[in-house]
Amino acid sequence: MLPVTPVIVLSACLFVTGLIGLLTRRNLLLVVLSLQLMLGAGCLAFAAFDQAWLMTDVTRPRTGAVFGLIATLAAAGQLGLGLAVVFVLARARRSLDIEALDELKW
Amino acid sequence: MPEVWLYLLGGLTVLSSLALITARRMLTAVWAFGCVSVLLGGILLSLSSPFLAFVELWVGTSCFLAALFFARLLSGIEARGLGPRDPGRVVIKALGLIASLVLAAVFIGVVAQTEPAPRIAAGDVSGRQGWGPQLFTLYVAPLPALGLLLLGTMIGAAFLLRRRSG
Amino acid sequence: MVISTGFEPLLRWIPLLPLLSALLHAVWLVGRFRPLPRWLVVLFSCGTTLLSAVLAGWSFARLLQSSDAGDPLVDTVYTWFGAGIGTNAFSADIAFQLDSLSGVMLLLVSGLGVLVHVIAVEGNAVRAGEARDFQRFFAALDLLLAATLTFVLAENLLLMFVGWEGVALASAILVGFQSGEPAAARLPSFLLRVERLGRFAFVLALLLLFWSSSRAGLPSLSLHGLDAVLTKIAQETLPLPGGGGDRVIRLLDVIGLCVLGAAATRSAQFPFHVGLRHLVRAPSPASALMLSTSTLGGGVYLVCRLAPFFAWAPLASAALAWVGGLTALFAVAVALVQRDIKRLVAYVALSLVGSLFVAAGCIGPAAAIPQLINYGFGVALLMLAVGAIVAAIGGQTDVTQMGALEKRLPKLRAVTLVAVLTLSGLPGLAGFFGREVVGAALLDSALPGAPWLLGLGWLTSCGLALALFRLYFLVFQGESRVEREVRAHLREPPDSVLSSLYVLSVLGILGGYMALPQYWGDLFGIEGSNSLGNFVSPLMGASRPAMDVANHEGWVIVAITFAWVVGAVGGWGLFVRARARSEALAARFPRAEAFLRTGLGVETAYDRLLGRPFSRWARRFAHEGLDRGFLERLVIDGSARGVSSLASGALKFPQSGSVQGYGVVVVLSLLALLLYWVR
Repeated sequence: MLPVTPVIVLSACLFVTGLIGLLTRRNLLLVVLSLQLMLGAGCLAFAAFDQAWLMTDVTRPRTGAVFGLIATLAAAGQLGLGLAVVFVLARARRSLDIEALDELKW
Repeated sequence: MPEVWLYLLGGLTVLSSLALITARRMLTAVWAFGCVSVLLGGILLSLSSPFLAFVELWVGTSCFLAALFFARLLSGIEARGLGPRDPGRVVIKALGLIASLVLAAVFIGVVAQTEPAPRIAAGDVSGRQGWGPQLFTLYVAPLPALGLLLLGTMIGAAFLLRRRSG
Repeated sequence: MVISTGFEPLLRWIPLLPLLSALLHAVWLVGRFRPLPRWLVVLFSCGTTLLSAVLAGWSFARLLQSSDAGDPLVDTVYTWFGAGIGTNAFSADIAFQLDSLSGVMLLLVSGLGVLVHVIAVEGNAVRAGEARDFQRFFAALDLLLAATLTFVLAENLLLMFVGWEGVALASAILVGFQSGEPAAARLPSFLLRVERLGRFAFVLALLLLFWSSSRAGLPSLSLHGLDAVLTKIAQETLPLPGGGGDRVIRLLDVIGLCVLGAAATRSAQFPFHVGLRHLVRAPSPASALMLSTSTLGGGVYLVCRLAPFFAWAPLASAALAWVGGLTALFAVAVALVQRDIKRLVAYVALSLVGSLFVAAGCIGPAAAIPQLINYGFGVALLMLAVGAIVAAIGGQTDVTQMGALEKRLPKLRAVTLVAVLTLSGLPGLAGFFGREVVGAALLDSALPGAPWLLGLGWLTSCGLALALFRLYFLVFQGESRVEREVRAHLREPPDSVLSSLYVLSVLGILGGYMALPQYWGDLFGIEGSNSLGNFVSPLMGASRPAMDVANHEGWVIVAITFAWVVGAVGGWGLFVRARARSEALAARFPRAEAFLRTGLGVETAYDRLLGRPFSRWARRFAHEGLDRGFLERLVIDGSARGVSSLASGALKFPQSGSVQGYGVVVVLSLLALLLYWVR
């Protein structure tokens, strides 16, 4: 079995990368994809923890795996809805620029 | 799988994610995302949950394909209206960058501090306390929050748009 | 009205009935219904008053029956509020108490109330006015009566205060009462200011008593167990400012002084007399009631009711006596130059009340209450008679413009003569006996400056007789200065009025014999001749010395007889025989006369020293400075401007609308949270 700590570090890196993408990119679609990346990183971390707990005690319930599944499901749902919304917004605004969506100030 | 493959896969994943966030063209970024998904699936395979790996691979690939489809659909729009740069946004982006890096440092720091293997080797078998609830919180807390934020924002904007044009 | 088996529950109806009548009239008028016909108003008001008086008499009889036990009759309606539990419990009830003191006063008030109501029906200028004014007047009159009854019958100091305030309210309404003229309803402001002082003093006394009694472990404001409470707090002292902790004043002295303050303002003692001349602007039946029992008499009753305090507080008693003595002399001086007949009566009453204060401070309720009763009869009689005279002459109030009415108004003359004789102290009538008792007590008294008080009192007696006879002679004797037309239409007042006046005259004459000093009793072999005084005094415990002062009483009797003779003869001489010469003499000092007439210029002094500077200060500081400058400009405008500049300035920036900006904020806060947790 793999050592767990590097995996968690990797997951942290991916998560933060996704976060940077979320906060920095102007393209709406890419922002959604960054969010997906974050969720994937989270799933990876859950899996790593699951592995670690398995290593200590085989009879434990597989909490990590379950949470990983939940995170993946969340990712799937968000993607579906998010892409649809992106599409509508892009068509309405004629632009994929996230800075064109600034009505939320009132 | 020997460790060296893990490190290779991991490195590639990081590179691809960096490509995702820095690519100029939308299509390039989407392909990078696809790479990331596949690589993630591979890494998960090497962990203890093949089922999770399978699901993640599946979802990831679907994401990639859907994004690809939409990117092609919207590529015409992308070409237009990227608007003038707002100096205020630079500040925001810089702040975001810094905050994220600090967050990464915090994550890694906590992980390093609470790593269980040496402790287990030293005879502490209360495995539950390995990474502690803090780390768990680190992962559980932000994800839904951020996701909801983004989603909510977009839905709100869409709603406003509909009100305006409708 | 349910008459239950226990008798006490009837006590509450004594003040309640007139109050109900007043409320009915008030509600009727406020609701702007068509004013009730006069006979209906009379039926309600006089009916309730009569009923209340009957109840009063019945209760008093019941009290006499059970008076062997010496316990008062108490009617507790409900607990107003309370606090604490166990031995430290305190409760203020709406409760009425009928003991010998309040019983006697109750009879006076009820009786006078009935008579005043009867007179108000016919012998009143309001009668000629509109029906609305008629009903309004009776509403105010009933309110006055109800408040006075509450004040008299109250079982604790809080309810007494309620009655006190009620009297203030009702008298304010009545003073400002002019048929149909809203402008005349504005009260002169210093009347109110003086009222406030009295109110403050009363409340202060209440608070001090409550505070000290709570500290001693027996919190109580009730008149019930007052002696027990007082023995406990008798030795407490308060430090005087500037004494460095050495100079102290006894707490009971302070309370006594506060009570004195309240009583002095209510009874218009010097220097609080400034409102007195306005008091008589009310229609004369109301004035009569007010002067005799509610306002001027009310102060005396307060002092008597709270006599246990004064028994423990020699300083306050001395102050009481001196205030009364000085006021008596002052009032007589002012009365001697008054031209307005009603004001003349008011100042005469004031002087008599001053003497009552002397009696209260020097001896106590045993002497003051009988004199108060007789004073009540006499002054009410005088005021009502004067009112009738004024009505008969057609509204003329200047006493120098009357004269030679003895042939035209014989019945009124007789009644007025009775009043004058009783009040001035004709030997053998009530006023004489009262002065005798006080004079004899002052001879042996331990009061500081008692001989001076005695001298003042003698001078006052002379002056009082002089003033009263001046009234009588100027109105009824001499040459007539009444206009010819009016003279032709002079008519005696209606029979209802006259019969009430006759009743009062008889009471005034007989009243003296209810309080015959023991000196005469010994002379004629009657034991316990001072029946009223003895009836009232057991309530006050053994804290006052018995009134056996037979040694020098003979001299006192001679002295006051002499005073009366001087006054009577002087009056006849000055105002009948040599009237023209005395008027010429007075005309040579117009400024002095005016000064005296306006009460030694106290009113102008108040205005210049207190009134005007205060208004100026109020305008400059409170209105322009505080209100406009600070509150408006700084607080209100300032906060509005602050909020708007904040909103358009600093608060504008976060509202960028940028999604990623909001995201950054989320991440930053997340970071902060995590750092906090992980630490």
